Amino acid sequence: MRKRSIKIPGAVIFGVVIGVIALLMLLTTTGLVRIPFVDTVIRVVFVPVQKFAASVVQNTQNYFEDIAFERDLKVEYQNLQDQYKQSLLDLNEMEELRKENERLRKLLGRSTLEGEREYILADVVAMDPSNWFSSFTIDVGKRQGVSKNDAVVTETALVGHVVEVYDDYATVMAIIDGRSAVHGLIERTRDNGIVRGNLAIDQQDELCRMVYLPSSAELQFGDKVLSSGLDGIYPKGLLIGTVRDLSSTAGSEPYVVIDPAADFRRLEEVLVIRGEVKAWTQEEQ
Amino acid sequence: MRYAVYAILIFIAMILQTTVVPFLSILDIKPDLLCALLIPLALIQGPLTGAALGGICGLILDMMFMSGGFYCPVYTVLCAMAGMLGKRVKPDRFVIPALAGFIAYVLKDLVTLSYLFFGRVDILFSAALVKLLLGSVYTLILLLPIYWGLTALERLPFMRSDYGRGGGIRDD
Repeated sequence: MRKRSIKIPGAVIFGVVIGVIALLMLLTTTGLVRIPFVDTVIRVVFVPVQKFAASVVQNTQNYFEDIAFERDLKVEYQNLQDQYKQSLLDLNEMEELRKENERLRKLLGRSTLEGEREYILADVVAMDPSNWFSSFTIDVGKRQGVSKNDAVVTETALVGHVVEVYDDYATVMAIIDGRSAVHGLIERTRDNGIVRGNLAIDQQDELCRMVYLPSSAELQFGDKVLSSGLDGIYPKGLLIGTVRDLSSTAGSEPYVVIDPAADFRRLEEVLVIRGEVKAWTQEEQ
Repeated sequence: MRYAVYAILIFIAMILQTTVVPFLSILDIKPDLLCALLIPLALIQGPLTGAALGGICGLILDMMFMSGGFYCPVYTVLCAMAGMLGKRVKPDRFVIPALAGFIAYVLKDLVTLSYLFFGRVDILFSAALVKLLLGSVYTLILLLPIYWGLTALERLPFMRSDYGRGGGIRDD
């Protein structure tokens, strides 16, 4: 007996596939469904290879950079010696100030600023493939103590925060991503504002903007911008960057251009700040 | 065998895209190596295979990065469109793959920009246009050699769909 074959039009199959994808997107983005097993399998396959490839690329890059840097090493060493001596003096002064601050806080009946921060060292193993976003994968996760919304820094500056966390890996959204917003504070004037990522807008090094600053703010070039701690994600006092351009407007909204302190083109290792962040209030600022 | 080769190629492309390519950016613009591989594959293989490969790659990218979940549908649709084009017009060595790659890249970035726009991200459209065009040119520089390489690869005996079993089905 001859079998009867039913021919399904390609457009119908295509429509069904798109429908299923749209449904899955809807369910996963609204948080109704999580598919941790699939996530984990994909990451277990990809991340070790990405880690290896990233280390090869970084080692190659470092090798060529080392050749170039060797020339300036002696001058750099001398400068660092001078800076070190100056830093020792500053450190003594800061220690005095810290003690004085503690005494004054006790007098005011407030607790100490915050406990010792615990850092987790992580390697950057993969970066978002798009030109419009800035997120990356790091090689530490739940098992190492990382949790969602932990702040991520370099040794000197704020980088971003953890948006997704798995057993041994986590995804970090950088502060230069257009979807990122950090509550910031101008160190000198204590003016508050929001530092927004700017990667989607410009390619001329204008990676961050600070908006919602008070109109009375009197800023200067080179003013340091720190995290204010008001958003409850980033601890207070982390360096975001410095003011580069003062009087820009996008539509009717004034903003200042911030030069991020972290070098986002050369992120190799980062530190995850572990634990909950004390949410500061405006009065405590 | 054909699909094993594709899987390996895509795996390599994804690893390179997320690790090596960010270090090869020019003016802070990265090429889309995955687009440069998937569009030629779809042109050669047809809409269904193209859509399936694009969908799987997009899904993996969506899971690995906080991309808003649109890589999957975007790559699926773009690869399906490239596959339909390849089915209707016999691709030459230069114009059709370049055109398909350019349109696919531009559409993909337009979807991304729309996502950002509706997510209330400030977008300076003149700068975005420059970024988009430079990115598409950079991607096309990679796409054409990849297309030529794939067409050469397709002529090898082990890439035939009936290799080793005396029969098989292709989309087209």
